[in-house]
Amino acid sequence: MIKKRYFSRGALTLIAAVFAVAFLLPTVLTITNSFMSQTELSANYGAIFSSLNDSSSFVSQRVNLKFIPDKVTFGQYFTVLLQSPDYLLKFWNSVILVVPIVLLQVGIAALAAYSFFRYQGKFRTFVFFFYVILMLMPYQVMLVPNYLVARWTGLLDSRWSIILPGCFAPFSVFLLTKFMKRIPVSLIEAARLDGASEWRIFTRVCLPQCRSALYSIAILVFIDYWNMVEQPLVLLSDTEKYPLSVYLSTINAGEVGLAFAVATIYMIPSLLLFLHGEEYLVEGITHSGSVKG
Amino acid sequence: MAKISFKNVSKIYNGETEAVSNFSIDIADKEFIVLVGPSGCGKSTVLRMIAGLEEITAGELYIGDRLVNDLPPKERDVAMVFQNYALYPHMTVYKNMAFALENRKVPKAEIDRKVREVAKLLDIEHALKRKPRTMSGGQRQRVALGRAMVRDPAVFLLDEPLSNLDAKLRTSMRSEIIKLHKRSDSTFVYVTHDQTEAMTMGDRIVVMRDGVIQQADTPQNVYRFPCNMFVASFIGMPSMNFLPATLAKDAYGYYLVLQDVGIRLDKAETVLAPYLNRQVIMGIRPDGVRPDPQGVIRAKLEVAEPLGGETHLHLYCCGEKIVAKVNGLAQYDPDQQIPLTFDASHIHLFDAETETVICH
Repeated sequence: MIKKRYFSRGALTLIAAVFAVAFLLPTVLTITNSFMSQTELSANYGAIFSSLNDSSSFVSQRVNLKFIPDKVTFGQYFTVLLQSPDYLLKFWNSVILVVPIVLLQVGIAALAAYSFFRYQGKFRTFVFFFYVILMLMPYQVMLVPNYLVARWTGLLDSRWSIILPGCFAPFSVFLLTKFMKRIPVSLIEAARLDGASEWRIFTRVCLPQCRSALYSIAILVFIDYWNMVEQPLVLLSDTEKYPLSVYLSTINAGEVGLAFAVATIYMIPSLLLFLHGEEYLVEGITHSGSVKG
Repeated sequence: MAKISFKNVSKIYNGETEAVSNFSIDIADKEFIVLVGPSGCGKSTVLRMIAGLEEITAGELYIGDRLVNDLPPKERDVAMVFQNYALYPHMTVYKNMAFALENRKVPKAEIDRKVREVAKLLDIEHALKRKPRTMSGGQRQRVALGRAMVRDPAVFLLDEPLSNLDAKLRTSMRSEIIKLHKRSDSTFVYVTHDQTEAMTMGDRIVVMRDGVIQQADTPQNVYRFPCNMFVASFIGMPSMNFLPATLAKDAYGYYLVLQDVGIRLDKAETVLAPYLNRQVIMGIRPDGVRPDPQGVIRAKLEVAEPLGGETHLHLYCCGEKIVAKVNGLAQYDPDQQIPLTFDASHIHLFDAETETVICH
C-alpha cells in the first residue's frame, strides 16, 4: 500500500517536472539566445526568417533550437542599451503606463473592497454581483466601449485612455474583498472602541493585514499590463507612445538577436517583482478564497 | 460617575429575533457585575449594546447621566476585552496598547508613560516589542487587559475573557481581574457562562435566559435563594437536584411525599397552604443529600467521581437521577444501594407549573 502511494507520488512529480521544464524552455531559450551573435542566430533560425518572405522554403529547411551559444557575446545588449535608444524609450513608455495603473488600481480596489467588507445591505450584494459579472467578461469585450468613451472624452491617443480604465478592475476588488472578509470583525470593533476613525481603521488596522493580497494584486496587475497589446493598438494611434510589448512585434526579421535581448530585458521587472513577492503572491491568492487554503 | 442604567431595553435582530427583551437594571458606579447564562441568552448582546457595537431597538441606556442610545462607541468612554482578545496582529504589544491613546491625540511622552506603567503592572514590560502571535494565551490576555487599562475608561466590558485559557491560568487571571477592579475606579461588566467566574468575581450576578433577566442579586443570594428552577439549576456545581413530590399535611405539620417516603418540612405554613395535596418540585443541592445508614430513602449508585477533597455520587433515586456531594474519598461500589437523608434546611420548593420558587 505504502509502495503504491510512493509510486503514484513519484509519477505525479515526474509529470509535473515535465510540464515545468516545457513551460520553462521558451524563457531559457530567449535568455541564452540573447547572448548569441547575429551570425549564429541566422544559422539557427534562418529557416523561420526565410519563411516570412517565402513560405515554400520553410517546410524544406530545419530550425536548429540551440540553447548554448558557441560564443557568448553581449553585442545585442550593447546595441539595445547604447546604440538604439528606441528600445529604451519604449521601455519607459511601458513604465509610465503600468506604474500609475498598478498604484491607482491597488488603491481604488482597496477602498472599494473595504466598502464591500464593512457595509452590508441589499444594494451591496447587487453591486458585488455586478462586479463578479464584470470580472467574468474578457477584456476584449470592453475594448469597444472603452474606445467610444475615450473618443467621447477626448482622451483618445493619450496615455490616460489606457490608464483610467486600468484603474478600475473588478478582479482586484473581488480578491481584496474576499481577503478582507478573513479579518475578524472583533478587530474592527476593537479599533472602533479604541476611538479610531473609519479612515484610521482602514489604513492602520485593515490594510496592514491585507499586505499579501495587495502585493499579489500589484504583481498580477503589473504582469497583465506590462504585457498588454490590444489596448495600445486600439487606443493609441501615435506609435511613439507604444509600450515595448507592442513594439517587440515590430522588430524585423534581420534583428532577431535584438528581439531576444529586448525580450530578456523586458522580462526582468516582472521576474524581480515575482521573486520578491512570491510568498505574498501565494498567500494572497490562497487566502482570498481563490484556492482553498 | 459611571452608573449604567438600562430602562426597558430590547434588541431585535432583523425585525424578528428578539435577543434581549425588556431589560431593566441599574448598575452602580464601580460595581462589578457579571452577566451569566447559557449560550444565546443575550448576555453578550447586552455587553455590546453598552459598548455601542449593537443598536438598541427599544428602551433607553444611560452611562452616567448621558443617554447613549445613539452615541458612537468612541464617545462612550468604554473599553472592552474580547473573548479572542482582538489584538492587532501586525502591531507590537506597545503599539497595541498605545493605539487608543494615539487616536485621542495624547502626547507621545504621556502615551509612553501610561503604556509602561500598565505593562509593569501586568508584568508584560519585557514583551512590549513583541508581536501578539509570539505570545502565550495568558500573555495575550494581559495585553488585551492592558490595552483597555491604559485608557482608564469609565466602564470596563469583558466578554468571556478567560474562556480561551487553560484551567490553571484561568484561576490566576480571575484573581488578577478582581485585583484590577479593586485598583480601578471603573465599573466592570463581565460576561461569562462559567458560573465559577460568576460566583467568585461579581458584586452582583445577573442570570439571563432567552434575553430576559431571571435574577439579579449577590452571588450568595442567587445561590441560596434562587428565584426559579432555571437559576437553581444554572448556579451551583454540581447543579441542584429536582424531584417531583406531593405536599401533604398531618397533625405535626407539612411534609413532602416522595414516592413512599415522607420528608418533614420546616417552612412557613402560609406559603405552603395553597399547595396542599398538589404536586410540587423539591430542589436540593448535592451537599444537602447525605448517605446515612439510618436513612429511609433508598438510592442506587451509578457512578462515583472522586475529586480529591470531595466525591460526587451519581445516584438513581425516586425515579430521578440525582447527585450527592460527600467529603473525602470514601469507597463506593457500582450498583451499591445507598440509604440517604435529605437535609430539610437545604430543601427548596418550586411550583411544578410555573417553575418559580415557593419557598427556600
